[in-house]
Amino acid sequence: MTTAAVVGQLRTLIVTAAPDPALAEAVRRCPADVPLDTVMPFSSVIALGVIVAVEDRFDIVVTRPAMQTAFTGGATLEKLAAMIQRLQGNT
Amino acid sequence: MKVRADDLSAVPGDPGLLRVAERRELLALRFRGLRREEWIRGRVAIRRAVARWLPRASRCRVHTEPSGAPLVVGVDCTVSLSHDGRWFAVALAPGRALRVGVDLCRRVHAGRLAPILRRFIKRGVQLDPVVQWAALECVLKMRGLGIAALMGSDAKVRRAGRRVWVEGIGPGASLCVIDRPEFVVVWGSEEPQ
Repeated sequence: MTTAAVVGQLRTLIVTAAPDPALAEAVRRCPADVPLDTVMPFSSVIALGVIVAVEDRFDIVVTRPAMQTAFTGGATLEKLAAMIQRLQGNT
Repeated sequence: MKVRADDLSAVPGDPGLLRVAERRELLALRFRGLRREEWIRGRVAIRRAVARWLPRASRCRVHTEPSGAPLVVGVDCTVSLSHDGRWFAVALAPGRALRVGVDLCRRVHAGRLAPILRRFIKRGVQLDPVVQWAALECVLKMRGLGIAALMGSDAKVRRAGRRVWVEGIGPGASLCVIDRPEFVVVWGSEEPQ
């Protein structure tokens, strides 16, 4: 799966995981390298909800170091996609 | 220690109310839309809390630490801020001797919290998941820890009345809790270890 395809799926997963989908809609259009916290309230509940959804959707187990790498400096779609691809063994 | 929980719309979201340094931080953070407005209201809410609870204090501003935690500059106090949807909570302790933490969690999250707790906490769901989550978040904030600290933790959370105890994320913590129809607020303070 290409990075662009993973990013596309992440956009949907994030909007679905958000308690207020209207507030998360901006994620459908934001650049992939922008911290998610700048475009929507990307709280810990939403962040961990996304991790649970990602594990389920991509059949991976997100480790603590992988999560720390993806979240340091603010999680972006690009960083989350890279995390998924690394954990799938694609990179 | 004082705590206030309220509707975020009770606080103005006018960027003109920010101090110069706060405005600079806002520009650097590049927040957009509602997230930007939420951040502004949070800063104003903290300064209002300082003015209300420390009425003789001088003019202050709120600095945002790299972790995102607010730090009051110009008045000797420690604060913590939490917002969720249209609600916010601010906690304040005079002086710098204590670390404080507050977390407000809406009940609308209950359904998504149970799988999160089962996945990340060895003991899974131990009580009302909203209370459990707010208690865990409160401890993380009080200690400046990120959410990764929860992964695989053996955190034990129990409640009796308006107190909640958290063990397993460093030293045990005794916290206060209030339940409202729409949300739960948990707060606490401790001396730095």
